[in-house]
Amino acid sequence: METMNVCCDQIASSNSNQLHVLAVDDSNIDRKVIEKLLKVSSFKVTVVDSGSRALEYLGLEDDKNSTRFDDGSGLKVNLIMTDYSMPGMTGFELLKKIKNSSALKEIPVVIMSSENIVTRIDRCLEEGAEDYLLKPVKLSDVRRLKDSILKTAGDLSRKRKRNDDRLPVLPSSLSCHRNLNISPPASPQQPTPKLC
Amino acid sequence: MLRQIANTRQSLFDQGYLDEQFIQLEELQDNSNPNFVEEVVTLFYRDSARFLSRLDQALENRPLDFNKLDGLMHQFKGSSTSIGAKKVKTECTHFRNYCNARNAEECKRTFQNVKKEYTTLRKKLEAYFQLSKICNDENEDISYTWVHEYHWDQLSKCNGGERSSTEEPQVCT
Repeated sequence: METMNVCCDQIASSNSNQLHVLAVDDSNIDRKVIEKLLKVSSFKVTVVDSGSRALEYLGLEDDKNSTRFDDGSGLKVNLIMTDYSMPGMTGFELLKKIKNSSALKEIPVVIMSSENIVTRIDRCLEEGAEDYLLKPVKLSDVRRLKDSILKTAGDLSRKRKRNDDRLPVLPSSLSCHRNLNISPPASPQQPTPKLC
Repeated sequence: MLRQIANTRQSLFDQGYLDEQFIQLEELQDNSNPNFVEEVVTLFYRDSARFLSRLDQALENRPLDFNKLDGLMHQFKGSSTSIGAKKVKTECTHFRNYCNARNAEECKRTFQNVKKEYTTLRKKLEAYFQLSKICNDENEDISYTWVHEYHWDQLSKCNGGERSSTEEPQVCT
């Protein structure tokens, strides 16, 4: 069974926690604006200026000597918003690396671009991007995104709860069994343990 | 004064220098960050100086590296778009079209237009922000005067209508 990503657990367990966004853009103007857009929309924000810095922050850097960004709170990232056109690693390349990582693939990634190129949009969505926003990004885009992220997290949380409820009911003969350390099977597909 | 500022601001939109993105920036400005728009615009000036200088240099190359020119202009256009610099953005688009067409002469000509529009916009924005600052200062004086007058009235009431010779606000005992 797939491990549920921790960020959704956080949202499900504590709605008072703000969603944490990692924004990636090489333009300092765009970084300033996106940071403000997100803060005004009640997100916690971390901004970096390149794909490699983003991977460093996410703990995915290949270079073992790279120091991990430490903002002191060890915040999990709930959403990544990245510019498409960046020198070095493009937003698309960053998207691919994240989706290919077992640790990070569940984090929604949104691409931002000034260019309305249908083939580019399709490619990003096929690669697993949550959304493709045309720059300049507006408050209404961010609000819509927030609703969508919260809804997805809510759906996943409810789905997980339903899966738990569907676990097979253990036979009442379990009550005679002294060993209460037997845990229920991880999924309905797995065979139930043999009991007395 | 306030009307003058409003008119100045409106003319920037009416004459096509700014578009709705500038309004979006204004909407993001609040008491916690009262100079947000000006800060963004200042970043734009800094970025622009860098891009325009690099474009100038690149246009001196022989032969022209159109991919490089296009790349630089794409970034400059991005900055312009982010602050709502409408006319500048339009000229950037023309430039990129000529880059794609590998038309050196038109690229150079259009670049002059880009610089002209940028310079014009910058002058207008600097004037606008300067005007806003003066107005804010004046408003502060006005509010102080209002408070002053209020205390004076209160004082008159305390003394049974007699005006004190001093202008200092006094508490009624």
